[in-house]
Amino acid sequence: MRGEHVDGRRPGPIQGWPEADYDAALHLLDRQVVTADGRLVGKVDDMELTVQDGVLVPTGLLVGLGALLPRFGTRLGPWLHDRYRQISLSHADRRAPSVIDLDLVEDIGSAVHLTQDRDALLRPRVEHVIAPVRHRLGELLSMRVVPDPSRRTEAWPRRPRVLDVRLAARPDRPGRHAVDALVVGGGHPGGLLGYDRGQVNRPWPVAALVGRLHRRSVLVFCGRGVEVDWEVGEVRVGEAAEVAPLVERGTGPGQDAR
Amino acid sequence: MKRYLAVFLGILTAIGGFVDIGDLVTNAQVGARFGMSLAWVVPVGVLGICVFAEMAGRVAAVSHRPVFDLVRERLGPRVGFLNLAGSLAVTFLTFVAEIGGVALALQLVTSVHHVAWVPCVALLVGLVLWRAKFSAMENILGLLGLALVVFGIALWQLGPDWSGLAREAFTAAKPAGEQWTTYAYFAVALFGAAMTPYEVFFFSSGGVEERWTAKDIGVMRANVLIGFPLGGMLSLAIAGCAAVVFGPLGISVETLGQVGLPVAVALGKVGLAVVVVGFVAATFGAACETGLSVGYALAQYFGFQWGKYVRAREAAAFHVVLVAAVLLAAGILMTAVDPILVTEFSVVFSAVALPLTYFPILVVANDPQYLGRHVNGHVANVLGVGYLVLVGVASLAAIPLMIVTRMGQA
Repeated sequence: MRGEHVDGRRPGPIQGWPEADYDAALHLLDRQVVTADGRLVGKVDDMELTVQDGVLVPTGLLVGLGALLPRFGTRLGPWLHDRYRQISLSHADRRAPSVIDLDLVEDIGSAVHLTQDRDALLRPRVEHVIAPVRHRLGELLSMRVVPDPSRRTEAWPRRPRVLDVRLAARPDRPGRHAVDALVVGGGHPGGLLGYDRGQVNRPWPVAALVGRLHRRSVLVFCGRGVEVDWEVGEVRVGEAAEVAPLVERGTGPGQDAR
Repeated sequence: MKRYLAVFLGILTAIGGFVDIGDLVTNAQVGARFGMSLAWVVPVGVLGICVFAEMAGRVAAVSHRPVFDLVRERLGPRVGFLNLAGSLAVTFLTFVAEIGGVALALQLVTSVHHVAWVPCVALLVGLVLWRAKFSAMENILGLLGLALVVFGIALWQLGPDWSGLAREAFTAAKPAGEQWTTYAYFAVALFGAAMTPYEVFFFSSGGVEERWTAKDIGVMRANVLIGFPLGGMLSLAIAGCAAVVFGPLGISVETLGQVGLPVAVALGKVGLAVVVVGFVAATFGAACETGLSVGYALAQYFGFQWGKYVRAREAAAFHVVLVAAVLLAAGILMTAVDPILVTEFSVVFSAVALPLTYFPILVVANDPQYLGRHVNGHVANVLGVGYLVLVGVASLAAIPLMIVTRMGQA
């Protein structure tokens, strides 16, 4: 089914991948992973982010319950994951989930297509002695956001949280992406429906309602003034940070500008 | 020519496959108790399932993603899981009811208690789910389900007061002795019977199994927009038969035998034989569809290989889920629980669970990044939003009405 085009475009959220920018949670998380032989191997249960030159870079798709369960909320998630690990302590993939290297991804459409067959595809990452610092996207999502007191005059969402992560194509490394900005909102329902990014705008009553709930969502660009504290689980937004409205002129990432 | 035959076959199987144990029991109960005064709910429910199935079918044809893929993508893993749990519980309940329905139909012919039939039926359902080809299963059972057209012939033979039935249907006049809450409860039950969520899980997953593309949207629409309404006519005929035979006597319908009795009254033994074939085909077909839907929903949420388009050993976990569902359903029925009671619960909880999957499909059907130019048009969106309100109201009202009316007993 891969390669079928509708109106000259591939069905799916990211047009022109891997050159296009996209939002990780909206466009990639929870999508079906399909192998080169057309078989289904799992969902994108989480995403591996690696720190490279001080920048967060997506490097792998995490698959399996070990990746999924921690995403069930800040309290329930870790509790479920602990129980899951306790069931069989001898299984390494219960602690460190299986990873599919992003280099194996051929295409991202309505599903994630790989270049490899499914035999022995899923295995935890084997790290060398000097391993890079890696995080999970799921840890970053739903982190609370603490704006600097000097920014309190701006229209921040009430109880701001990280809802999504915008990945931008790297001009220096074609085909690779890096975390460019954080989508910050009030954590209201409907953040994955696409209405807040201008991706969908119909039917009108639903678009109006969800759009209103997310009207204060902003983009916080990573870099100067933005500090992610992985230990505490919060993102601090300093005075120098660049913040922009989430949707401008009705276009979002992963969209063609037709 | 071959293409027209395929369309014709698709429509016929859609008609035959539309009616299941929920439609049989609920329509007969409502007909006996309320005459045709609740007949308006059937077209409302049928139009609703057409809107829902057409959107899900279009999404499946263009983006190749079935319902539960989209539920998780659009609602996230946590809300998606709650959604899965609710939808799975209702689909499994319907699965139990359908297997029970086959056993009850066999009891009608053999006089052997339905509990004794349950293991045999479960084994047969398990074998079909494991071995049968998807299209063969759908076509054979769908065509045999057309035997239920006998309800229409029976109604004609019974020679009812057509103008009286039409007046009841168009004025929606509640019988004097009934409460408005009971009337509303049965309206929700009929709505749930017509708009059972599994129908759409099965329909959209079937579309992916049969590798629909955007070119198949026309055929898919013909199946839905012609097949389902004609299937709905069967539901009305069942209600009409019960209204004519049981209504004047004040008898309530509590067994599957009573559902088929009007046909025997009108057409004798031949009619009864045909109706039993129809009962077995309709409930057996729906048992296969609900069983598969249990596997589809679980596999699509967690992402493991599913489907009949691959060999069983390639989708081992999916087939294990199917076998486990069959065993569990058989175990529940072996406790001698009344399948009619299970059916009554399943149609009401279908109404409760409906918005869980309807809403994400409505959103994705409007997403140009998935559907390109095949996104919902104005008509689909006006109907889509109208039904979003309607399924929301039915869902919220279902359980309070069930409690207040003591499942329609009050």
